[in-house]
Amino acid sequence: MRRYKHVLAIGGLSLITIGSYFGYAAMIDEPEYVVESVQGKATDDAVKDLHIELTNARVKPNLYDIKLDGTIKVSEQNYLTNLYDSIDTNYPKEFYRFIRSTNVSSSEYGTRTYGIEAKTNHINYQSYDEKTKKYTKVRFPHTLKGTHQYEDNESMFQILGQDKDQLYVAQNAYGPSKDLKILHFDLKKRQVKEVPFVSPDPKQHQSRTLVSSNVFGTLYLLETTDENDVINKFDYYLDNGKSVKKIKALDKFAYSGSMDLISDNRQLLLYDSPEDQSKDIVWRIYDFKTDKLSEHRVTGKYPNQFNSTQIFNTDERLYQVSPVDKSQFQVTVINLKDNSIEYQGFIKDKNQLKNFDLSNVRIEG
Amino acid sequence: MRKFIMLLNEELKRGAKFYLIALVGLVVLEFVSVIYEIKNYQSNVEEYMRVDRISQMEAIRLAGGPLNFGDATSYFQYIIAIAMMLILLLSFQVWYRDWFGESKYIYRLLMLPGKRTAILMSKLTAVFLTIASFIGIQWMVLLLSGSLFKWLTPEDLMESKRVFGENRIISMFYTFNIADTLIILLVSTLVVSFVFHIILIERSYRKPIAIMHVVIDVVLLIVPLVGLVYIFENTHFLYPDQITTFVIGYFLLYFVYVYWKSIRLLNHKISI
Amino acid sequence: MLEVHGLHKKYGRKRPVLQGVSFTVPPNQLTCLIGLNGEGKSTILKSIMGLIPLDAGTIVVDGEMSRERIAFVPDLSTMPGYMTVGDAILYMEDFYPDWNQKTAEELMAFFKLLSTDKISDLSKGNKAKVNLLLGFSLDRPYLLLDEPLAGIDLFTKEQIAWIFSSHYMEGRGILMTTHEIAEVEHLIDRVVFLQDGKIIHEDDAEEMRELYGKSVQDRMREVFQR
Repeated sequence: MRRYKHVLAIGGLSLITIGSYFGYAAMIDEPEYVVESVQGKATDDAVKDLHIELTNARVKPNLYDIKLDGTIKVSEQNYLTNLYDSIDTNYPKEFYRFIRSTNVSSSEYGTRTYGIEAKTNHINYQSYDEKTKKYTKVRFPHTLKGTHQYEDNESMFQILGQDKDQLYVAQNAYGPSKDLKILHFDLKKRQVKEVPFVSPDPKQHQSRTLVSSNVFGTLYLLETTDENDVINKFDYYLDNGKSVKKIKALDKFAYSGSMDLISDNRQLLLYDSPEDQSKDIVWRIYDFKTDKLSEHRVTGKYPNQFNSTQIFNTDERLYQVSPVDKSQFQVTVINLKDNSIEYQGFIKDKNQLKNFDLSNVRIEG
Repeated sequence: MRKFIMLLNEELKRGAKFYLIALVGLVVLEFVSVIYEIKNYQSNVEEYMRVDRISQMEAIRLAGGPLNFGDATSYFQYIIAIAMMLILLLSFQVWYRDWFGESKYIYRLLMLPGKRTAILMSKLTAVFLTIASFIGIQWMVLLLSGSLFKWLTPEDLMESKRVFGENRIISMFYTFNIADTLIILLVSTLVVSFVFHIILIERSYRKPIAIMHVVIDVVLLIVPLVGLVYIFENTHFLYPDQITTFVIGYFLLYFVYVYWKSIRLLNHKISI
Repeated sequence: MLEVHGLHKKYGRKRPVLQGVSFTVPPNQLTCLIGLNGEGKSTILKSIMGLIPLDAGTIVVDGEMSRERIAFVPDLSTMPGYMTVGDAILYMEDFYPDWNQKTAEELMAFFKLLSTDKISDLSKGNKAKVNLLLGFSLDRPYLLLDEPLAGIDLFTKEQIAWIFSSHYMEGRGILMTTHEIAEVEHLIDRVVFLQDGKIIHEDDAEEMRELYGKSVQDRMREVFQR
């Protein structure tokens, strides 16, 4: 013992002190989550693939991946796992290499990631859907004239809408207006056609932002600024290739929040993060055919918390997950076909540990 | 094994004075800094109230809001930096004290029966235990500082009684994730190993050749890694996660090389 | 037999310190390695012990390439100054399986050293005694001594010289470097002369004395004044 006096002293000190830290960490209460479905069932199509991720970064950074059927996967977040945080790993190798190539313009739209490469005498197109895991690869035997190489290749093409095998793409979307082209990709027939776009170029102090494109035309927002670059006017226009029509129904909505095509690209869904402390979920649908905007509202059980709520849509549904407090989360799913609540439920922590935040909500599977 | 533990004991014994002075000094400094921050904040609030003739609430607002544990421990990051410097100093001292001074203990070490690997491992373990004990003591100081904060700070001046998650630097070291502590210890050990490696090169070769060896070893670490990562990222041959695995694997392999070379130097090249 | 074959050592671009040094140290004999200052005597002893790496050469001890049959008494203190004599003895006992505690205690008594004496507080002579104690207390058949009598007082020299003619030397092959040849003249069995990094002469000391009537010192003058 005399021989090892110093080893025992310092080794013992380290063990005891670090041991007490490990003991403290082990004693930190873990949540015990249960799911309570108030309307609809956890096995419904609407929610069976919904993942809600909760984390408590302040104390113990575990990630809780909760499904509404009660399945919970706990992942420990440490310095090592934080280095492995890339969604690209989910992509098929060929797709990953394609969209990361220098000349490929990539963008995301809904659950899909797209890559378009304009070659001298053909166009390479690939897409991957995170939800369905479908990988599409098409070679179009067309030449795209007037494609500019910008520093950031992602600005070359912007996806404006997809309906089954039909894709609407803006070429040179963020470049000079005179270079803008709207293209229609027919993935089945392997054809690319230019969609007529007759809108005049924006004037000085005006900027144009493309919103969507479908069989009815290309919808865009035109903002006007004053000499101090403050936006003082904004209007929405629909260009159907023959004429340009002002969409008065969208007059009230500045370009914030989400605007997505739904219902086979025939309607535009508009929604924003909920108002703080309001119990309502509000969304609006603009119907291209009737040129009418309808507003819809449902009232949840608890007030929403701005900045803490996650809201997103698919083609058929609107999903909102909001914290009630830091131990309870409200899940609401709205069916956009009939604008009613399809599912409502709560994720509750039996141990009522009020220190968890919503990290991410996704549909996977 | 026995030789290793006895040498380790000797290393710790030799550094005991330095260790105790450093430890006591750092702990005292941390407690004093907490008391200073609390008292300084209190006196600022009182001064605002007295000079500007305002309410306590106004004075607290002027003083930057109520005091939280992160504010009270704001000097900890500097004290932790001092501790890291001391560890670095120890990494050099643990070798050079054997060469310089009245006694040449290095003669005795190199003549001991058995493998010389035990010399390297005992010094590395001595520094490792110093780091581990510093981390452990810092935890104790954190808990005691929390109690000190709650005791000394009037409730109306306190933002919350929460101790954890309030100081960003402390939160980096104490994530309550055991794996993170082990990663910190591993990374520290690798850094110390590299310092040892440089020392052994310096002790084995004349200056120009020693510098050349150090440059080669640094180049060996950086150039292939940077080059290959650049190639992988531009050819997209690997996914980002795979590149991460490659980088980690390369580092570990590099340190296997560092250990191998350090032991070779100790066995065949080192000179008194 | 301790055999040294073809030792080469060079520091940088300077002239080589050792150039193919070869000699033997027979068991039961005291071999004295003689050379002027800076000729490489200490380098030879230290390289035999593995303290200085060689550019070339081999060391064979009784047919094996192992240094664990050799004890070394260097010309400086090798124990940390904070240690006491008692600590140093315990240290050696812990690490060396061939440590002879009885010899250590006897020598400690003979040298009038106390186990509580702190090494850093000892005089040069007493430090030299501690070195000898640590070297002689290892039961090893070969012993290397590097300037054991350098810079110490007469009385301590006499004590140390007594050790050289005592039973502690029995059965050992000794290789010694010293400038104090007169003190150990009567003990030397063999002489090896080193100059310019090479062995220039090896002589049997007894033969020198009996056949040629020359002392080791006389022979040394002859060799180095040529």
